[in-house]
Order: sequence, then structure tokens, then C-alpha cells
Amino acid sequence: MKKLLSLALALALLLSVAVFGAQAEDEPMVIEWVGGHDTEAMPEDDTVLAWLEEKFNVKLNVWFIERSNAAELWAARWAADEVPDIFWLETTDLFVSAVKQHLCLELSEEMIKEYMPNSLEWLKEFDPDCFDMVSVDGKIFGLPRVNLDGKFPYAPFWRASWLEKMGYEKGKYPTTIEEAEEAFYYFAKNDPDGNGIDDTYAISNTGFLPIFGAFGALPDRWIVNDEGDLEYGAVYAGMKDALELLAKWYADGLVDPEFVTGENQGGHWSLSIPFESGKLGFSSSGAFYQICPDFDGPKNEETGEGGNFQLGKTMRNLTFPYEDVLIGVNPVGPDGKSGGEQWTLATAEAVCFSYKLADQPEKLAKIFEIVDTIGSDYETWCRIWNWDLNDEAWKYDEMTGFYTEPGYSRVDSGNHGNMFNTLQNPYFKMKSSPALYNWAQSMPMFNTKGYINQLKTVTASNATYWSGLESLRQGAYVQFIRGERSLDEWDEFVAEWYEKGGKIITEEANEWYHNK
Amino acid sequence: MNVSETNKTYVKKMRPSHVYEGRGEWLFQGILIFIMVVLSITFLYPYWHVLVTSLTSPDAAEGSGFKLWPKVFSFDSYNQMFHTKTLWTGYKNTLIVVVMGWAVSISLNILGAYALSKKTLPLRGTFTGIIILTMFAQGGMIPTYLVVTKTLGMKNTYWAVILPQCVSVSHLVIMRNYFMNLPQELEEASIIDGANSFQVLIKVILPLSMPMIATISLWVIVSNWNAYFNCLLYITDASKYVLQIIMRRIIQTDSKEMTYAGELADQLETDTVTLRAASIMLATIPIICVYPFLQKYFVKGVLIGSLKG
Repeated sequence: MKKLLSLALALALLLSVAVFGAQAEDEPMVIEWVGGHDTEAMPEDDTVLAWLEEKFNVKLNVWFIERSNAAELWAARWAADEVPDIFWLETTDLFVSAVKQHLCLELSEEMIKEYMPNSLEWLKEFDPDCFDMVSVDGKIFGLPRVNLDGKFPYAPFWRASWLEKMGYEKGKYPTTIEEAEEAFYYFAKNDPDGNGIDDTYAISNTGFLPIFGAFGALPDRWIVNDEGDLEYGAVYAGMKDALELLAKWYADGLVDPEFVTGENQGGHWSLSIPFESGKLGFSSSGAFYQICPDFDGPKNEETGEGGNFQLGKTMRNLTFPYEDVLIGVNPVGPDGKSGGEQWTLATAEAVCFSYKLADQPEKLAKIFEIVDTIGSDYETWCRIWNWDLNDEAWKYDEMTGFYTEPGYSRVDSGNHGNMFNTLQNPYFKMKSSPALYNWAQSMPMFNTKGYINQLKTVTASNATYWSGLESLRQGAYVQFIRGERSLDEWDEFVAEWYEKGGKIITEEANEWYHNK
Repeated sequence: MNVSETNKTYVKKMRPSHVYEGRGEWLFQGILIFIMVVLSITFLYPYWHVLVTSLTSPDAAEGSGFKLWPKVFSFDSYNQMFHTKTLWTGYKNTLIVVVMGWAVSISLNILGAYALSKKTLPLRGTFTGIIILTMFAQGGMIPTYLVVTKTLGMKNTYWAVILPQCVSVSHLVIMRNYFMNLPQELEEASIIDGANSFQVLIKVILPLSMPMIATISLWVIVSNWNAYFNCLLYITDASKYVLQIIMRRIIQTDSKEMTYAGELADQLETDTVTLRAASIMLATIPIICVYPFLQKYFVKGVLIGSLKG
């Protein structure tokens, strides 16, 4: 019995020493982190995570919120008062909902300037209006996210050999709507692929966009009209002329009849099945990095391993060589207008801080420090992607940027950088893939202005009317193009659109636009 | 009635059903068989297509159209899948959830249903009513989440995935009705032989209920195998994620809002079509394998060998 007692006492002593010993050490600050997004939960043994924790002397508890179920997952967690210290929200809806539930710490520009001076500088330089999207009633509730790819508008591409057959010089392409129309008739009527069968078309659904653009709007974007007000592209007067032209082309057999279901028939969204199979002469499916050439880095000649880039996604399954694709400009319309699709610079995403940090200034400063360092220090930024110049797996090349040394597979290394790439510094992105961005900057068509959605908020009545209005638009546009509805009924369509909620949303949109 | 006549009727009765009379009958059967074959092919083809895609070499797989046979045969996608560490974690966790979930679910359902099937149970109608009420009025996701995580403290445990849905009202009602239809005399006989309630349930009722238990087991197993959202909701520990979440990541298509890694994936992704196909096969084959084992219970009659009617 005595023995047992002494054993117990000894154990108790040992335990207390262990507990005190642990407390005596400098406990790292625990941060609940959703400073980005990911496609899978962070593995516990992730090397980048360990590196960051050591660098900043913190413990990061990374949450995984599946993007497609984000609304439900957040709703449950917020209701249980589970709010991470820093959390990224993908949509304006979620952001507004979090702000209304008072979960987001209110920030001020002075505060941001004090806590993350370096990142604020480039943010302001890249997009001075970037805090618009993360403000509610003039108060800032989060950090914005900007998108480098919003700098470069879409440009259409042509079948080079078909244009040459028509008489165009090598490297030349139609630049106006009249020239494009002439080429379209040739594509559909003169058997440009020379197979003796009348199986070619000029244009399908993505190719419509540059045509609409030549008449002053895109049907699915808000534009600023001549009066200086916001107007939805679908009901903009110029669209009637564009539709008349498209209806004429459809009647004359220039338009791929399958345009209703679209050029993309599964697979990656940027694929154009009719273009890649040689049925179509003109398309605008995919952004610049999906139609880019192959910038592949050095490869192991024996095994073919290594390298980085491949042809842009849209161009990967071509049934003809990539040299037969000619990237052109968005053709200019009768009033000198032109343009294609373009993404906004500031996205609808927001990075918020927990309201609980209001009385934990040290922790807030620490989180800002991490965000600012990753956002403004190139070496740290590279490290979150697992690119380490001291690591033998990685090499840097002036032309291609980072590439893997032959024999190392990049996929296996696991990549959770998005989780830490809170601010998505576009300049770093450019720096790390110089070939792609130098190419994009050297191509004049990617350095023009496209149509950016000018309504950068979600209006109050959006949820009530928008999906109905969109199906009305889509249905009517298809009917107009296919000639099932005469364009004499254009005014009726516009009236119906306004009547079914378009009027309210337009009023709300303008209220936001004129007061922002 | 003489003997030969009786024999005749007997022979006619016993004539195997596949002996058809007349041309009309042949035609009719032919049409039926044709329709069934076409239907079966329609159901099987998508699965076959996925199988073929998963066995095609990544380079040859893209593009649309019918696929009857791999253009270039390759096990690359499966190889790559099998080298994914998380896949095995997913299998392990799914197996735990399926086996534990099945055991808990079936035992609770049987106990509950058996009790409710007894007319002597006090307040039987009230209990049944309360249980059935939950079919129409549910607590909703957020209160359930609060109960599971805050009250029961089951966040990040397998129980969070298993318990909240282990008793399904429809399963319970089906079981209850089944038990109620079993002849009372069977139980009485065993009680006379000295069996207590548990013995009656285990030795008499359950052996007679195998077809029904097999059916419900299958539902329970399939639904646990497919468990996805509850796991996302209650489990944050990556080492406890079930297979479907891991598969989902592989199948997930790119979103249009490109981010840096998105673009990288764009550049790297040469073989997602075949990888996706392989992951679908890997996620479905094990569960399909369960069917043949349960099949035998469906065929057997309910009361074979118990009572002579």
C-alpha cells in the first residue's frame, strides 16, 4: 500500500513538472485560419504550414470550408459562434450576411495602413477602388482580393488557314464588323476546310460576344450608358442591331445551329468543341491564358519530364496545329465601339476578421503581419507555393518562371498555397510566370478595354427577380437569333424585362452607382 | 375425376414458364426481351463509358463520342489514384462509418421497431406518432448542428456522422409493419418453450426477418457509404474525412474565378478526365460488390420452414 502511495505521489510530481514545464515555454499564439481557400483539408504534416508556423511563431488551425457548400457550412458555424480569426468569403451574399450578423471586425483605412503598409500600397496602385467591394454603408469590413487576370480582356481567335485561303495575308485578320461578316460568309459558304462537304460554320455562342461588343454592350453585363447611368446590357438599344445581324447570319447558315447548347459540351469550361474539331472559324472561348501558346520550360530530353506550361486549355485538343489559330482583335462596330468580356479587377471576394479580435490587438497585429508579409514579400510568397530556390526540385528561369527539375513531380508535392495567398498579389503572380504575362502584355488585343460588369454589388431585390430576368433574356435572345421572334418585338421584350423586376433592380443599381 | 385427368392438370400447372405456345407468344416475348435488353444497355452504358475512360491513357481520353473500348489501354489513372495517400484514409474512414453506422443503425431500428410492433406497449400510439412527426417537421440544419457539436460534443468524431441519422423513420415503420405481420403463434410457441423477449427477438423474429433486414441494411450501407455533407459539417480533422469528400475533390471542376493555383492546375491538368473516371469507379465498385451478397436474402421466401400453412 505504501509502495502504491509513493508511486502515486511520484507520478503526481512528475505530472505537475510536465504541466509547469509546458507552461513555462513560450506558447505560440493560436490562430484560427481561413485566410484563403483550398480544395481539400490541410494535411497535418504540410511542410508549408509548418514553415509558416515556425516563421511567425504561431499555431495555425486551418479550417476547411468546402466551396460549393460554403453557405450552409458557414451558417451552421456562425450560429454556433464558431468564427475563425480570419476568414475568406467568396461571395458578396456571404460577406453581407456576415457583416449583418456582426461577425466581422470593422476596419479603417488608417488601421490597415498601420498594420499592413506594404500591401496597402500595391493594392491602391492596382485598383484604387478595391475597397468598394468590401464596404457596407461606407464602412470597411474586410480586405479586398484583386485579380490580375481582370487586366486582360478576352480576344477572339480565327482559323488562320481559312483566312489565308480567302486572301488575307499571313497574320492579318478582319478588324471591323464588315470585314468579319465577309469572312464569316466565306467560312460558311466556300468550304474552307476543302473536304467537299458543307459542314463548316463561322460563329457560335462565344463568338457572339465580340459582335455584341461592337454594338456597345454585352448582354450579361451592366454598362454605363450615354446618360451616365447603369443599364443592363441585355436591354441596351445597341443590342437590337447586333441581334438583327446575328439573326440574318443565322438565317443564312453562318451560325452553328448548336449554339443554343453552346460550344462547350462538358469538360473544362473554356473548351470549344466545334472549334477544336475544325467546324468553326471564329470563337472567343477562353481567356488569354487559355488560348496562349506553349511556354514550356526546359525538359529532360530523354524522359520528356519536367517543364511547366502547356498550350492554353482551350487549345489542347485541336485537331489541327496551334499555328492555324490566329488571335485577333474584337471587331469594331459601326459607331466605333468594340470589346469582349473582361473580369473585374477587384473580385466579389472578401477577407474578414473575427469580431472577437476587437479586444485582442496583439493577435490582430500578428494576423495582419502574416497577411502583409505573404502579400508583399516575394520570397515568402514563393515559399507558400512550396517554391524554394534552395530546394533542388525547383528552378527559376527568366522566361518560364518557376519550373520543376526533371524527375520531380509538382503534383506530388501537394499545394495548399491558396490557403495562405490571402491578398493574391498580382505583381508576384506576374513575376512568377513571366512568359505568360510578358506574352499577354505584348499582345495588343489583350491590352484594350473590354466590358467589365459595372454593377459591383448585389442589389436588395436581386434574389427575388434576377433568375427570372436571366431566363427571360436567354430565351428571348435565342428566339431573336433563330428568327422565331421578329425583332419588331424588341420593344416588347425590353418592356417585359423592366416590368418583371428589371426596373426595380436598375433603380437599385443606379442608387448604388451614384452614391458610391 | 380420374387419375390421369389430375395428372394432366398437374403437368399443365408445372409446365416451365419458358415453354411458349404459338407465334404470338413468341413475338410478345421477343419484344419484351428486346425492350429489356435496350433498357439494360441504356443503364449500363454510362457506367461502361466511365470504366473505359478510366482505363484509357490520359492523352487519348479527351473528346466526346461513344467509347466502347479504350483507344490506348492504360492503368495510369488507377496507379496515380492508388498513390494518393488520402484515398486510403478515405477508404478507412468510410469503412469505419459504414460498419459502425450499420451496426448501430440496424440494432436501434430493430429494437425500436420490435417494441413498437407490440400492441401491449403502453402509449404505443403516442410514441409512433412522435416518431412519425419527425418525418414532416425537422429541426433543421442549424439546431441539429448546435445539438451535435455543443450539447453532445461530438464534433470531429465518427459519431457525429453516424448518430444523427442512424434511425430513419421510414426504416423503422417498415420494420414495425413487418414484425406486426409475423404470426403471433410463432412467438407464443417459443414463449411456451421458455424463451424470454430477447430470445424471441433474436432466435425467432430475426431469422424470419432476414429479407427485410437485408433490404434495410443495404439502404443503410449505401447511405453511409455516400455520406458527404454531414462529414463536411461536423468533421474538420482531415484524417477523419470519408471517401466521398476525397473523391469529390478529384472530380471537382474548375471554377471560373481563376486563382493562381487554379491556373497552375490548368497547366498541369492533363488527365483529369481519366482521373475522374477512375475515382468514380473506385468509389462505386466496393459498394456494388455488396449487392450480390445480399441478393440471396431477397429471393428466399419469408416463412419458409417455419409454419405449415
